[in-house]
Amino acid sequence: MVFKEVEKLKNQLNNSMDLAVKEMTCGNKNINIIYIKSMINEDLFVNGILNPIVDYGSKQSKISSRKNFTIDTLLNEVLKAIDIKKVEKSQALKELASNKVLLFLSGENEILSIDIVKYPIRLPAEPPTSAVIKGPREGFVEDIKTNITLIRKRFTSEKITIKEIKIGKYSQTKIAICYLKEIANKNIVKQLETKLSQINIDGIIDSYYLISFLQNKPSSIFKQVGSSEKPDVISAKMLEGRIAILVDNTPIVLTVPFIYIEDLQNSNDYYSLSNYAAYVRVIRLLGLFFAVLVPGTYISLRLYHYNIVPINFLITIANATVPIPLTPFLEIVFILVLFEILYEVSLRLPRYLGLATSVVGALILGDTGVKAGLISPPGVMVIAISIIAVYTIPDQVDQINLLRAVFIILGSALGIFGVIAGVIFVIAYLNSLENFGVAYLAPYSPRIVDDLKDGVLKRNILAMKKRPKSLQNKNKVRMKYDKNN
Amino acid sequence: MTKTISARQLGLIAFLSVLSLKLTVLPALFYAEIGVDAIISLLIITSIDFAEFFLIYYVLKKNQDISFYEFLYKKIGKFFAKIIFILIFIFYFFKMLLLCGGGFNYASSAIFREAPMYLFLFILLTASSSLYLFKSRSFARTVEFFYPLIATMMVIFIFISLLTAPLQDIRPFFETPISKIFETSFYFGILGGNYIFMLMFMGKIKFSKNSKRTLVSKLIFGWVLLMAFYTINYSIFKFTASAHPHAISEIIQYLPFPSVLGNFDWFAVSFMLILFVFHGGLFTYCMTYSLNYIVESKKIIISDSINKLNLIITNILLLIFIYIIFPTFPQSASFVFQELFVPIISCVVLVIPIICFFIELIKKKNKNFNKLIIKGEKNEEN
Repeated sequence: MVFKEVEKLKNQLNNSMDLAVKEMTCGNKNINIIYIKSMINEDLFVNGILNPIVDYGSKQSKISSRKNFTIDTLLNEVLKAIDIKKVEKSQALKELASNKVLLFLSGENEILSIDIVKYPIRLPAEPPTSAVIKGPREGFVEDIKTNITLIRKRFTSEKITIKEIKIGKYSQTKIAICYLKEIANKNIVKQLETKLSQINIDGIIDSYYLISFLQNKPSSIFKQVGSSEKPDVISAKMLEGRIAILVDNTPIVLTVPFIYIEDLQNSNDYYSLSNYAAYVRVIRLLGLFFAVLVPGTYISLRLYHYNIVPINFLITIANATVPIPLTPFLEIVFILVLFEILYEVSLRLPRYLGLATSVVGALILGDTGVKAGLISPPGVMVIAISIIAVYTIPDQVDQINLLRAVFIILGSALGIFGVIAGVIFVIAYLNSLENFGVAYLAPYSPRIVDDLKDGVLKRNILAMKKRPKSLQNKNKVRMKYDKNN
Repeated sequence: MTKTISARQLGLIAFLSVLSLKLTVLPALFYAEIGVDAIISLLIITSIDFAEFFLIYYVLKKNQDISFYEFLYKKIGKFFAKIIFILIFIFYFFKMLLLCGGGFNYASSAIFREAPMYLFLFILLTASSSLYLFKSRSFARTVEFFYPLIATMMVIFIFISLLTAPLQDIRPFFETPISKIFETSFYFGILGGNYIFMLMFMGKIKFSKNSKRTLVSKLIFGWVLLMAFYTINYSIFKFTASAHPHAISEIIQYLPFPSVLGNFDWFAVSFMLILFVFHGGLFTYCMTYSLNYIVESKKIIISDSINKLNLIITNILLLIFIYIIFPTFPQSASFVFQELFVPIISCVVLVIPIICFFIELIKKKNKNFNKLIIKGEKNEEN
């Protein structure tokens, strides 16, 4: 017999096709089990729930004086599932919607909610955007439990704190706030919890949905929240006092507070020679400048300031650009748009067509464009340098692409003075950003001498005895090391 | 009151404040008056400036929790406070006009050969205004961010120049009568008064134990570089120094760089353009800050809308002077700069630190002080 409450639940879930109800009798009582077929681990369902009940029922029928069993008997003596709890009947819909198995026992006011959820989980693998030469290769997956495990296995300390909240009216997405209690700044944790608790949205599909809620200036083109797909990176950030935010169904884990220099750092830097890491960081910084400023500066030099271009360069550029019918601005914009179209196409085309796109783009369009006299070799080179240089800082691709476009306009309209004023404007803007009370351009402005050790010119790990001051940590000492001992 | 800038950042702004036009047109003008004794005159101005810095520092240190307007209101009342702000406004207004004119002359000769002035002004005024709108904390941090670049460029420039400049050929000093040197120092009072801007930051500075040392070291560094620059300039160009109004670029062209790049014009150009923007930002800050308290008397913290309105008014006034008053009455420009601003206003403003020092010593408190309305405490004031 199906209970009235179970019927009601079925109706509330619109009699979904994957909804199943199992009716059983155990001793002198009826049992209804309602669950979503596609979301449970069938082995656990049979061996942890059905079989124990059947066994218990048959034992009961053999005993002459039958024990009047209750829901507590099932909870404590019969069922073998690990994650099981007693809830009010009023909670039934919420529990069922979160993919739990519900067990109703006749004559009881409470029900059992059993968590044996199973859905496809990808195995931790190296994230495609954060490939490393040295260091751990595992990456986060789309399952929050697995992701928590990947962090927990790096901290066998009781000081790690993981708090769970659910956000999203319909998605009820699990969000985990993860930090080291003795290191993270309490005020920042509190601010973060407040910000998260105030989110009222229909659903959280990916962690990027949260970013705007966590930023002081949500519409800014500069992200103020860190992100990574690698558990070693997140763990290292937690050791510096940051707070990790894990979101179910996404492999991207967020961290706060965030400072700009984090995007210049790479996990490889910490697994290789510190001098080499410093060298690579300088290259990345140059890459950033090239990507943003080279096209704008090139246009401004060609349009306004050819007199400050050294004569040898000027002759080369002039020879190559004289036959071009387009103005420097139009030429650069034309090449840039061409590159961007090729990039977008190559992202979405099937892999086997990707090679063909490269051939068409680089050889046919580029080469014939130059030979036809539509675009000049210096123009192609400038844009190629700029586009390639973007990927020295892969986390800043969006911002760099936007800024490049802005500086092209500034360079062509206002010349080199416009470019310089634009750079000052951008730096001033970045200096106005503060998230969770942390300056965005720290440790350079404001200058924090100790934190410079992990700045562009990275020092050896032995020099970094203290945690970053810019993050306002509680526990400032990272290591006690005396090289004389 | 929110502490938004550190003593170091204040020192860095002060470091920058002594550069800019002093590296382009002023060495030539100075030389035209008294020849190589301009260096002596510059030393006199520097000494006065240093003395004033200590007076300003004393006042700032004693009034760490109140703004400059509160300080003046408390000590000398609303009327005299407004007079001081009017003087400061005029001082920075004309400094900004000089920056616009001198900056454009430099930029047009160095880079913008065919570009109109409005293009230069558009960039300078927009950048300066946005630096002001980003507020004092952001402005100070931006200066701090660019300081290593500017200081390194200047040090490299001085170092390379020192290696090649014929310093032994510099003309002997004191060929000009001492009275003329002092007279020129007075006339070029505009070279001084670099640290008056510090008063506008009153109440926002985080002082520490070593604040004074930090500030003084930055000021000395700035002045040492400036002195070195003047010495190099005069030793290279000798009698023709007055004919080189774009000193920094011209010195670079003179130096025999063993470089594959051919020349280093861009080096000086970028350096100067960065300085113009920061000076524009600083002058805009001081002008708008003064104007805020010239028009407002009851509130300590100015509302955003009034602040922005005053910023727009300041820029419009500048444009009116540049495009209407000076071209229509050409004699007005020379009157303003030769008869009014340089000799009178500059010197009057130079007296302001002394006035502030003495009024700080006054114990009397204005009875109406408590009537000042403190609004918007939670927001960062500009």
